[in-house]
Amino acid sequence: MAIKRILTSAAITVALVLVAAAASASSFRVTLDTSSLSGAQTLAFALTNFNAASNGVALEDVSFDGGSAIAGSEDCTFGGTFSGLGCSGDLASGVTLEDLDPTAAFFTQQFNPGLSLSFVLTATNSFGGGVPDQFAMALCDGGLTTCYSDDASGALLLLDFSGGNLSVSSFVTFGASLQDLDAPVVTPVVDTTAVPEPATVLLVGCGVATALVRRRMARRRRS
Amino acid sequence: MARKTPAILVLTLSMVCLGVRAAAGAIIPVTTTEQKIDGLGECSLQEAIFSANFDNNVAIARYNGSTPIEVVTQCVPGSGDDIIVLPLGALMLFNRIVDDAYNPTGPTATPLITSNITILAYGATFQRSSGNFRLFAVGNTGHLTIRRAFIRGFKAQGGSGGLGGGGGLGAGGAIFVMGGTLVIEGSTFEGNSAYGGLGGVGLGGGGGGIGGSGGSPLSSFCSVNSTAGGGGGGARGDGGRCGSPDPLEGGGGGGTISHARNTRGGFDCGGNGGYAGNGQNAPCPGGGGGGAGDTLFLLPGEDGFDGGKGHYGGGGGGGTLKGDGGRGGFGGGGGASGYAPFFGESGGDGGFGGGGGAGNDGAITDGDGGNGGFFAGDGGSRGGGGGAGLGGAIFNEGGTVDVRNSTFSGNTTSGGLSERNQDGISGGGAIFSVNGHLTVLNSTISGGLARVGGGILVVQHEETKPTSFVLENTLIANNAAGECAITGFNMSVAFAGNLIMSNGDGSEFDGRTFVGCGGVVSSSDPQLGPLAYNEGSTPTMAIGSTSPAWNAADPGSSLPVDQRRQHRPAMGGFDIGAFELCLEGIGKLQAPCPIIVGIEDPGGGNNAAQLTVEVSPPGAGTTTPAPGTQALPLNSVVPLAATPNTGFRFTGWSPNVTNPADASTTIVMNASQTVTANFAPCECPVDVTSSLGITYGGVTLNPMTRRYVQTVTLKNNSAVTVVGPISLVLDKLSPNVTVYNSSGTTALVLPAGSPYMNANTNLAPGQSVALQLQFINTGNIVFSYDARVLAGPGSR
Repeated sequence: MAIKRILTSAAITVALVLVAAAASASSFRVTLDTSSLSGAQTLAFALTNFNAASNGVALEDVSFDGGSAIAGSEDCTFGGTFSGLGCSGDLASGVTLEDLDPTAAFFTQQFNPGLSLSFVLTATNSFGGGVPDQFAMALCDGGLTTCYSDDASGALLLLDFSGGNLSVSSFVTFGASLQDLDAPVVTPVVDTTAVPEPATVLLVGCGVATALVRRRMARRRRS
Repeated sequence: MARKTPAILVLTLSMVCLGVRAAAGAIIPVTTTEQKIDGLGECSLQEAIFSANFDNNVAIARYNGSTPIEVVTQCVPGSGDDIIVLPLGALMLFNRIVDDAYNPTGPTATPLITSNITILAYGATFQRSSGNFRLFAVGNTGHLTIRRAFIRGFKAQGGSGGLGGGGGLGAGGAIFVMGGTLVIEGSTFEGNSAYGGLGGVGLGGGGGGIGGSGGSPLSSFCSVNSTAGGGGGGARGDGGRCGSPDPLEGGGGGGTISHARNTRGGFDCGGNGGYAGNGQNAPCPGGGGGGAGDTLFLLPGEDGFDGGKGHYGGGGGGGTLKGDGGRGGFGGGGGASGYAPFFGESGGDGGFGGGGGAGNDGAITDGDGGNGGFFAGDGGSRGGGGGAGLGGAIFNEGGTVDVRNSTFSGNTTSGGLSERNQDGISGGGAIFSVNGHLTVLNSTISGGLARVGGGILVVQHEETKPTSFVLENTLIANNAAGECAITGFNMSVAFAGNLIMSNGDGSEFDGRTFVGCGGVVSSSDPQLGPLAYNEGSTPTMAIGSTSPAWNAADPGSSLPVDQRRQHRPAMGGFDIGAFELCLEGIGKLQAPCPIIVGIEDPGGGNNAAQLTVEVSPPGAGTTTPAPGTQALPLNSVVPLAATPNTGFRFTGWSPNVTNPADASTTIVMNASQTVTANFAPCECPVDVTSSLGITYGGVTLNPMTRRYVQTVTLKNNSAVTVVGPISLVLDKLSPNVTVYNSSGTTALVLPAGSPYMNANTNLAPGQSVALQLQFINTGNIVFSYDARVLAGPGSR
């Protein structure tokens, strides 16, 4: 029985990995030089929802290059300002933002900076006319009393969801002169197509064969 | 005393059951063409319908969670059978859906009609400007009469199935009748449409609802380990996408207003997703079923978890390993089965018009796809069926629809596509009626598009449901083949004096035989003219004296006037259709007969009131209507507009208009009125909004200042330089939101009190300027405003 469970589980996992790999989306790596910073900082991600179209952003593979996220400091309500709907995860495992809150999904978490900060951003780009949904990344001090940006938005990176294909030029970035921060660098992440390894195919085959053998044996026992 | 109470109760119940309504009612003038529910300023159509439904001047502006936020409106309170009066000849543009938790029929621009309402449109045009929704929905207790309206461009779109889910029904592009009564008189429907939802590809997805789309078990934002089913689409809200954050939980069903929130059903009526169990059935009409929870392991003899049933919504998707898809309710597609590697499982059946959900082919046995509902596609291996598209203009389910002297032009339907299985079928390009009563008298139906019944399709779906169809003196031409078709068991019919070019011919679709309509006196081309204002307040399609419809109608059943109020008969006989040809004179001097409509006041009489329009000082500006005196129906609503001449500014109307400060307003003719448009000399900026392209950037919340920041770009699209300074004016900015960095507020250029931001520059042709606005929005709401651009020196 245990073998059947393992084989079944393995087959399901393989199938799901294949399905997931087939659903490609626009991905970009965002990198920011944080070598000029010291002490606890706050990283903020926001997805404002001013458009009827649905959008979502996934932020994964967060790296601090010698720094680290401060566990337990993550917040999906911006201090109780928002519902927390559509916001989940943390900087260690990845953050997802979806436009389920009427106004914004807003994530903050503190971290200790290293030489640089980078993450992979994957996003949809739906637009229903009027004011687009928007993703923003801001970097602030530990107490959120100062945010580092040369723009009035307080953000270092903005991405309007105006429909069409996303590209590097879709991002608007700003530096922060007072903190000696350069604007973040955005580079595309090339999609790769998943091809099942021979061992995976073999595993699925084993599952099917085991089931067929057990079914035939059961029939023989009944007859 | 104790014996009297039941008697009163019985009498009351009898009156309710028999549809007896209070004879007296209120006249509710609609004083703005704006689409709004905020209780401020003027009375909108949406607010007027709430007033009539509630017999009080209150309206539901929105919902805070499940709590309705009521506002007191400036409308006349309703009272029994009410009459809503629209501004004469107004253009009413619609770009959004009203939040109505009790409307299970899908996206609609106005509240569900639940009382007896007559809308006197006086030639008003209702037009969709953006988004997918219909204009009206009539509930079981509703009775809606529409007179002299031009309804164009509305669109009902069935929800798409999630991965493998069936597509939802798209029905009633302009009006959906759900058991109530609809009377259409002297009105025109043009270019309305109903599209069935798409069938999804894959497994585990929820079925599409009548408006909301089914959720899918997997997306790029879900854990790849999540194998729970997606939620079914609701009347309006989408089903939940997946089991995030807990992979064991199925997605919730969509609701009548909102999308599912992951596993929680959307408000209202969305079923919750199952947690390691079956998805919840939708608890009330308009909800999608919840998706099934996940199970990674099965013991011998155990079944997986199933998706919940929709109720006017799509069924939820099944969970992994032997999970069946949920059934769709009326209009909803079936949910797809869950993944099952060895022994395939079945997709859910679609409800009426909803596509079937996908089944799963296992390595050992195959599961069945769900059956599609009426005219909808069946599901199959890993593919859901497409939803049906029915009733491009009007969809009637179990109600009574009475159409008189009306014109239908270019209303279309389309079945939803299925990438892997059956597409949905379309029916009733102009009108579709099922299990109800339909009467069409002296009407013209042309340019309709549908696979069956390009003009009209009447269906008795169940033998026990009383169904009737009366079609008299109606012209049905140049629609898709099989222009008038019926199918049923014991349907009551009455036909006379009709012209039908390409009648139903007994073809079979979806297991039914569709025969043509009777009473055909001609099937020749009626030589219809284009849709145009041929006198009258609504557009019609004229015929000439060589048309086979001329003098060919049944005299005994023809109506006494045509759509324009031209008397019948004219020129020696009764014509078929909504247009009665009447010419006077001889040869080249022959001309249409003048139509003397007279004064039709909302009370049904011929009472007139005098409107006198004046300009002060004379010559300072122009007005609509032009200065002078005219007779208008008592209690009608008249749109007013004032435009200053160069060197003057508008300073306001006399106080008897609805909004004296607004250059475009209305006046209610509850008595004879004199109105004055006042102007004053000034060095004024010019309104250049129409010369510029305005691009709105996204809105950012600055975490430090807590201010919302937005960049708005103005581009000169004209061929001449716009002379600065240039002011971006924010009219009708949401309450409790202010502009932190505004340059000032308008005072001289009305409307006053609007914040504006200046750019001290000229704009050459093609040149742009970006303005960065900072908003104080302590309530953290989604705010909006209407942008206006002024240019040139002078006070704002």
